[in-house]
Amino acid sequence: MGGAQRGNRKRKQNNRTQAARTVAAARGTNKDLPKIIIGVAVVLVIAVAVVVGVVLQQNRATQTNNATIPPVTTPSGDHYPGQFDKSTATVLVGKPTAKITIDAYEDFLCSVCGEFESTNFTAVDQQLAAGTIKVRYHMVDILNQASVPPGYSLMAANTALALATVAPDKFIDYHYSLYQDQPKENGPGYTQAQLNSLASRSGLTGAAYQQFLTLVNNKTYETQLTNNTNAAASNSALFQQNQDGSKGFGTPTIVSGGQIQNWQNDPNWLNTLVKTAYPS
Amino acid sequence: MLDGVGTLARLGLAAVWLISGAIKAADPNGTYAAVRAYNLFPSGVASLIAAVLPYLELALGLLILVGIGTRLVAVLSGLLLLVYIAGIAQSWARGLTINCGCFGNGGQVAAGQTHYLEEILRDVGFLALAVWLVVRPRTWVSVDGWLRGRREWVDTTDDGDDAESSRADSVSGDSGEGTASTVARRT
Repeated sequence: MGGAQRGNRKRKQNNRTQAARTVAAARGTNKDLPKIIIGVAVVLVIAVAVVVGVVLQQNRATQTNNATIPPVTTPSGDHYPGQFDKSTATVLVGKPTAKITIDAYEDFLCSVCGEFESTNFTAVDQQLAAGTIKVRYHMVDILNQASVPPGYSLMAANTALALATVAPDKFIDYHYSLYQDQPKENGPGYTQAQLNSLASRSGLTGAAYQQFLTLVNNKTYETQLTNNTNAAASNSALFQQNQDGSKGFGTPTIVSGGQIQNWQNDPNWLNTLVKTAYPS
Repeated sequence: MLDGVGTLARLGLAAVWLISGAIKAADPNGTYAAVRAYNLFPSGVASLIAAVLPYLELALGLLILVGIGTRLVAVLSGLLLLVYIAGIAQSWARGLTINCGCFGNGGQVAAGQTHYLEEILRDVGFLALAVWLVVRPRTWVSVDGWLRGRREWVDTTDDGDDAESSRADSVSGDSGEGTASTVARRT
């Protein structure tokens, strides 16, 4: 058992360590490979999910924005006039002799307003034609942030006023059309091009259409509309009770003779108004 | 036994992500409204978050369900849950009155109708599932386990030390550190 033997064993040990290192290095790469594959797979699945989400959203926007808004003609809209009031940025429809005036505060994106229009407009239209009521439309933009991109409420309101400026008698059909085929809250709204196209298909042509486009492009009524919204939102006479008991301004708000009409719980609200003003 | 607990945690977390992701994906407008209600992001960012979030949750659910990269997916799940908890907590602190929209129905609620504490506790519960899987990602019937099984089979053709090292490897989860440390000890 001399030093030579010990040296030999040590050499052997060194060799073995060397070999182990090589094996470890080689296996290290091998061991890492599945981890890398798993990591890549996880990242890939997540990346695909993100892309799917973005593409689906864009598809929804494209679908809405490629649609043609169908023009809807109100049954009796031809039998009563519309009148644009520049100072208040409102539109008054109905015969001047009507005793009842109804003020309607609506937002073009508001789904409950769409519900109000679809359940009540037939009766409203009949009374307008009969000359018992006038309706003053206050277009507000409380849901201006609730479209993707934001701004549909205000844009639609400005466009409707631009149309009312050049063709007040076409307003009621235009207004009704935008509620009949209404964009959903918190989804993509219609574009200005779609709103313009509806105006053109509603029969606005030539110089009138050009004037309409100028009013639209200059966003002529947007400041007034925003101010009107703020004024309505701070006018306690227009406040309604919310579900939790607090009070505030919401849309639609339907007012006549200083009274907020409870149209949701009272389907006879309009009949009652008419019978009170015109007892037979 | 502990593998069984891990498996339940894995399936539980998968169910959470798949259900909440599916509910959100089915109602994109509602999801946007829910994100917007937190009042944290400009509308462009909120709309991007609303577009991506449902599918991110579905992807995490799918990955954790099949058990691929369990530890990594559990880490990502935990991070997302921490973001959600922070979001709910800041709404509470700021006095917003919203529903978290964790499983749909997000948005404004009446002043007395908030459930911030319950929502946070629920998310903490989900976070516990994720933490379990981060600490101990080994579960039954997973892609990770299948891959590990293949590696062990390959390892048995090596010398005896490796049997021990691969056992150590198995206990510590999916990392290769077991082998490395065994080799280091030997030298």
